[in-house]
Amino acid sequence: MTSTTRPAPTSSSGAISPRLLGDAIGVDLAKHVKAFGPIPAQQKVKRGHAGALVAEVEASGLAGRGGGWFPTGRKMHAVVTAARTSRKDPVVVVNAMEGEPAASKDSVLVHRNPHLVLDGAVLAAQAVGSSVAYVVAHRGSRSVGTLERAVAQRQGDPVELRVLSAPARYVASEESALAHFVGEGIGLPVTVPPRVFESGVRRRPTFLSNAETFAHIALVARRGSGWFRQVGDPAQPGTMLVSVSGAVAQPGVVEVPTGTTMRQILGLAGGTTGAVAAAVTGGYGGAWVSAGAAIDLPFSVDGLRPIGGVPGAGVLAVLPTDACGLVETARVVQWMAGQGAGQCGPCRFGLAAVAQDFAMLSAGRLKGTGLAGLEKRLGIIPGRGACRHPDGAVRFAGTALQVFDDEVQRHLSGHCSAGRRTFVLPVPAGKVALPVERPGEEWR
Amino acid sequence: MNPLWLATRATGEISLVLFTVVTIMGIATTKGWASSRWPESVVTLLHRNISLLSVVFLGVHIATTVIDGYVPIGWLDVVIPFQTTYKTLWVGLGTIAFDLMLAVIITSLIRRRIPPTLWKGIHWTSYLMWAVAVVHGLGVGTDQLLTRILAAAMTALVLGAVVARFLTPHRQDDPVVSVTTRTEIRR
Amino acid sequence: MSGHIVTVDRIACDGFGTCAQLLPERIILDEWGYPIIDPTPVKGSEAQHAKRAVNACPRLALKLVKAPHEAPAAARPVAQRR
Repeated sequence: MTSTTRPAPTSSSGAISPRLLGDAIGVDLAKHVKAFGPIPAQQKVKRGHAGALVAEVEASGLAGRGGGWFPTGRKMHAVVTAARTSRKDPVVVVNAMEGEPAASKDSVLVHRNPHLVLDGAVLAAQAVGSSVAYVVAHRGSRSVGTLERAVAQRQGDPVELRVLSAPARYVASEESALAHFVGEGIGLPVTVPPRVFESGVRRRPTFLSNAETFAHIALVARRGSGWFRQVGDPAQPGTMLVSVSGAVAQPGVVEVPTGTTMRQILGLAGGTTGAVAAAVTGGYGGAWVSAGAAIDLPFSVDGLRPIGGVPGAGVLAVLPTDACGLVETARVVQWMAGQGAGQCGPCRFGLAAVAQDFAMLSAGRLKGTGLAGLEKRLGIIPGRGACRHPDGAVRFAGTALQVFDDEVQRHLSGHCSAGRRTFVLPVPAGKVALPVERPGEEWR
Repeated sequence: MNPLWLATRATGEISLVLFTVVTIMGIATTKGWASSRWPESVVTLLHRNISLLSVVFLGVHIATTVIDGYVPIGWLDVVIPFQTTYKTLWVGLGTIAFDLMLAVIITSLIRRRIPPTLWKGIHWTSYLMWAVAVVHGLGVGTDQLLTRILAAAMTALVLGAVVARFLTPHRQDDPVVSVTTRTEIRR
Repeated sequence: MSGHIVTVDRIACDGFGTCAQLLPERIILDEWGYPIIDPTPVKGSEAQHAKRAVNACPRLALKLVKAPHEAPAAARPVAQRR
């Protein structure tokens, strides 16, 4: 996927130039310093006390860009408090895993501006009192090499930077799984509470956030919270990276102020290549929305909430009208079912059952009673796993049933209106955790 | 034959039977062998309660052994093995079995306060404890025929349960559902 | 133990179902044998049964925790009640 440096569209505060995706700097540290200035010096803090940057990040309103959209400053503050009460040194972890198949923003960011991410990691670590920052990317991805080369260029960081590569499993980028991996080498979620900010890597308070969030932190440290708030939705200000894919002319990553409308975002990606029916927002643990309802809504937490959409990890995948939303969903849910850790019954067996139901539905072999059973299952799975993986998959499936309800009726009687021969949403070839059987013969 | 000696032998045999039942019920708990008349909770609770009953009978067995002056076995020999002059090896094995049982019972009573791996590791030694108890009975027993029959029967039961344990598929492996992998969903 | 709610460690839970048999007032099993727990606090005589259920779990996955003042964030509406 290509990245773009087209400026963001006119928002209420006027056009802006990109903050994160400006000129491609790469691993060259001198170029980075020339473009952004040197990394600001910070006062050393005692354990349990927050550096000045924490208050600055809190004032900026920056929220986690990994999908949670949790206020970053508040999280940093919680880590500092936990360090004080537990008397343990905190740890910083940068999530550069890019677990979402339909996303590429983290790898694009790491490739274009690794030092912004690393600056953010160092600055955040200093501010919360950590002496080490781990940066974790998927094993075998280009990001690992890029990050290692960038770290090698740096001298005299007051914080130790360590690049790790973790197994490429969707659930491995879940917060507690990532902390578990960094601490003990096992990328499986653990039971919460306690949450990672209290007890994460080797039971130490851990500030864990997405790579993009750290890049924003690096800019807040240089330019201040007031600057950060100048653009975007006042409730979650700043810019965000959106991975746009599907039926657009120029799929790729765009940087826009939060709250930019979907119509404007799609315009930046070259516009749609024909009539579109629906779109995936957030990721494969996110939500389907109907294009008509969403097109002029702000792409933000508050903006999409009325129609059940989510900005999530900045994913926007648009489905053309000639594709079948149910088939696409069936493929995604099937993949998600195999990407869990397999530790919790409701997720392991529940998602597999939902995947099977959806496979039957998309193949036109599900009857009304089967649909009722599927809906019942969707109702009882959320909240009953150790992490939110099953919740996300269920939301994805449930919103598909709502958004494509006409199609559902057609499939119940054995027909499908889509004419498309190829699939739209990228689904990696993955192992499925449960025994398999050959699917039925072609239908229709 | 004095009554204490009779009591020692009788409670010894009964203890063996009870511990055999406990071991089998332990296996049943793991594998979820349950029915509508023997629900899961009953199996679990019986396992725990019968083990405590077994301890009582074992306690009597030990007490009568020590109190009975006929053979020189003292209280210290109850926990420290191979110190007796009388049938050193066989009595010593009984002591070892008792020590193992103490570890299993105590760790189970304080289960919530110790690391789960510790509890699990010690609980696994209950198989060893049972086997040592059988051998102790065979070596030290004076009713050769009854002891041998009982030992054989109990061993057959436990071995049967162990085999059945390995033949029962793990709950989590049950192919509850199957999922199509290849995207053969066609139009 | 009155005023406490039953919680389960989802990873430790292996779906034995002992809990549902001993505390059907709060716990039912889904189609795969895993507990769906009603987060209403236990009161009066239920507390005794809740304690037994917690102690009987073969995996020690259950816990009784003080009920928070507002509804727990993780609570989801239970789809079915008896």
